[in-house]
Amino acid sequence: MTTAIETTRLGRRYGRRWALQECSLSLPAGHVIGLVGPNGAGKTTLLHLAVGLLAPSTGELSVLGAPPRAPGTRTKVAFVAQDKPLYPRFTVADTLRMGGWLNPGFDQARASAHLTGLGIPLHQRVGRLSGGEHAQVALALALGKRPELLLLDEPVANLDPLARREFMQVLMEEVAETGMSVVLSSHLIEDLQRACDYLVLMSRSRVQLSATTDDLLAVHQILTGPRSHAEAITSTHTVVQASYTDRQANLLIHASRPVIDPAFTVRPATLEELVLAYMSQPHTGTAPTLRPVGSATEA
Amino acid sequence: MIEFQLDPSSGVATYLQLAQQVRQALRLGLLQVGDQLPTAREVVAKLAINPNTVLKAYRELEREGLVGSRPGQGTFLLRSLPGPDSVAVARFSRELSTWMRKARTAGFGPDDVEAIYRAAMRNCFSEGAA
Amino acid sequence: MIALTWRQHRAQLLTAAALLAVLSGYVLFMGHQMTSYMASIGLNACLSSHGNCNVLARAFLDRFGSTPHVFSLLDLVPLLAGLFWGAPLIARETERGTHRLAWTQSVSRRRWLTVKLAAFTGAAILAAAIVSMLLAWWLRPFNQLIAVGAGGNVNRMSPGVFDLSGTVPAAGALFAFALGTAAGALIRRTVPAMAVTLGGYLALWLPLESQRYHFITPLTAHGPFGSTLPVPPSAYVIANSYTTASGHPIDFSVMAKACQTSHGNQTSVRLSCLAAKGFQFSTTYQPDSRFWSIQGMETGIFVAATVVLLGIAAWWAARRIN
Repeated sequence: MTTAIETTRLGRRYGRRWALQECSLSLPAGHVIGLVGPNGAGKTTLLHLAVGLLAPSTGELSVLGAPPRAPGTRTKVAFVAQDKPLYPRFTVADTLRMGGWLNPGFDQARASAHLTGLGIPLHQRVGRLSGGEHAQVALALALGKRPELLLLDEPVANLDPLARREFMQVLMEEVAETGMSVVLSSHLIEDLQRACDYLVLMSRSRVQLSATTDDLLAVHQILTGPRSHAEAITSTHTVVQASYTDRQANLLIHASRPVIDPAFTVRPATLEELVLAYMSQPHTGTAPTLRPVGSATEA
Repeated sequence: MIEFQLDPSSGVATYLQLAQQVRQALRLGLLQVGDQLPTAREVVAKLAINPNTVLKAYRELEREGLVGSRPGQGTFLLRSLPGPDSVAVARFSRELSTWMRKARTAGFGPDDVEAIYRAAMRNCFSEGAA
Repeated sequence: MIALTWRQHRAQLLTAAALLAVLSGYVLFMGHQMTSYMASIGLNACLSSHGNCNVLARAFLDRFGSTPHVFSLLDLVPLLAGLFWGAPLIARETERGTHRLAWTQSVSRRRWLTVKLAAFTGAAILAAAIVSMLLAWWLRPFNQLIAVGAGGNVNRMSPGVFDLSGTVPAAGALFAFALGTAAGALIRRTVPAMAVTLGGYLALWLPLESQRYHFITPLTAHGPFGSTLPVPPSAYVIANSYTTASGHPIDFSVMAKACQTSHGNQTSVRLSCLAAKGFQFSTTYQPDSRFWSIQGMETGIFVAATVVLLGIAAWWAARRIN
C-alpha cells in the first residue's frame, strides 16, 4: 500500500460552519507526515474522519486503501487522540492488557518490557503518572498493535521538553524499525521539523500545502535585496510573503526556476519560515496550489 | 562508535550535518576503516529525527565512496580521508595562534578576528567545495 | 471485550452484588425472626389445625405487620440500574474523551456496545429476579394468614409489593437501564443524563402505579352495610363508593353525618344505623387471580420501551458521536 490516506474533496460541517472543506490529499505511506496549522484549522477534524470517529459531510476518504471503519483498516491503524485519553483508574498493566483485549495480535509482553525499560511502573495507576509517563503509556498502547499507520493529535503539546524529546525518540525508533507511516498534528512547526519528511499545512478549514519537506525546501528561497529591484523578482516568481522597509525587500518566494539576480542574496527558507509565511496569508484557492503572481501583500 | 549531534539553528540540512560529522571523525582518527556506523534506528532513538534523514546521509557518504552497506549487517567505513599529517597540523596551529596573539595585541577583539577569518575563508575556499 | 467490560465495570457490579447480599442478609434474618415467632406463639400449630387463628394472627401482625413497608422503600430500586449503570455507560466515556480511545481500537464500536449492553441487561435481570424472589419469600407468612382470612393488607396486588414481584422489577430495571443509556448517548454528560433518567422513569412509573389496575376492567361488588362482600382477601381494593337507598351516589363524609349519634363512636352501632338507613357500599377491586395478567401487561410496556430506547442509544452511539 503506497498511499496512507487519500481524500477527495473531503468536507465536514456542523450546521452552517465547515470544520473542513475541499480537502483533497494523497498522503504517501512510509513517511512521517506533519499536519500543521493553528487551532481551529481542521487538523483534529481530519484525523477524526480518518479514524472513523466522524463521518464526512461531503467527499470521500480512504485509509490504507479502504474505508476507515472497515475491519481490516481498524486493525492496521492506531490513533492517539488529543490529551491522550486513558482510563485513570486502570493500572499501566491493565491498560496494556486492555490493548490485548481490544486488538488481536497485540504484543503485550513487548510493550510491558518497553515501559519498564523507561522506568514506568506497571502497577501504577494511570491517573498518578506524570505527563511524560502518561504520554509514553498512550504511545505504547498504540504501538502494541503494530500498526501500519499511526495517527497522533497534538502528541507533544503540554509535555515538558525532556518528555517531548523522549516521546519523539520512541516514536522515531519505531518508525525506523517497522517503516510504519505516521501522521502527527501540531500547531507548532518546531515540534515536527526534526521528525517529519512530509508536511501538510492547514488553515481555516482548508489545506494550504501538501508536499515532502525536501520538495518544499528545494523550491522556497528567501531573497534579501534593495527594494527598488523587488519588482524584477515579484513579476517573475511566485511570492509567498514579502516585507519591505524603505530601502530593503525581504521576499519568500516559490521558485519555479533558479534565481539569478546579483542584487539579491538568496538562501533556502527554513520550514519554520515557510509555515509562518503560508499561515499568515488568507487562503483563496482550493487544493495545495500556491498564490498567483502579483498578490504579495505588504507586511 | 560515533555519536551524532545536531545543530538545528545552523541552517545546514540535517543529513549534511551527519555526513559532515562522519568525515570529521575520520579526519580526527575517531573513526577508522572497517568501523561500523550506527544503524538508522540507533541514531533516531537518540536524536528523534526522521530515519530517512540518516539513510540520506549514509547514501551521500556511499556516493563519495566513504562507506558501504552490507545487507543485514550494517554500514561500514571503506576508506579513510586523506588528511594532513599531524606534523603539518601542528605547524599550522602554531602559525595561527601566533597570528591571533598579534591581532589581540594590536587591539582586535574576538568579533573582529572572526570577521577577518571568515572573509579569508570565503575568499580562499569559495571556488570548489571542500 | 468481555474481559474489558468486567475490568471497567467490576466496581459497579460488585457494589450491586454487595447491596444484594446485605438485602438478602436482612431478609433472611427477618424471615427467621418471623418464623420463630410464629412457632413460639403457636401460630403455626393453629394454622395447620385449621382453627380460628385471628387472635394469634393479630399478635403476629402487630409485631411484624409494618415491616413489609421497608420493602416499599425499594420500589425504585430498578431505577438504580438506570442511574448508575445506564447513564454513565456512554456519557462517562464521552465526558472524559475516552470514547476516542475505546472506539478506535480493532474491536468495532458496535461490538463494544453490544457486549456492554448484554452484560448490564443480564446483570439487571439477575439482580431484579433476586430482589423479587427475596420479597416473595419474605411474604410467605403474610400470605398464609391472608389465605385463612386473617391477614392484613399486604399482598402481592398492592402497589408497593406488585412493583417488586414477578417479572415487573426485571422489566423495570431493563427500562431504567435503557433509558439511562439512551439519555447518556444523547446528552453525553453523566449527571444531566441521570437527571433525565430519573424524570423519565418516574414519568412512566408514577402513572403505572395506579393505572395498572385498569388494564383489565376491575370487578365491582356491592351490597348493604352489614353484609360481607365477596371480595377475595388477597385482592387489591381500588376504591369504595357509597349510595343512598334510592341508588344516588353519596360522599362518605355526608353519609357519616347521617349516623352521628349521641351513642358515640362505637363501630357496630354506627354500622347498624347505616344499614337501617338503607345505605349501600360497593367495592371496586382487582382479584389476585389477575396478578400474572397485569404483570404481563406491565412487563410488556417496559420491554417495548426498553427495545426502543436501546435502539436509539445504539444508533446514536454508532452514528453520531465523535
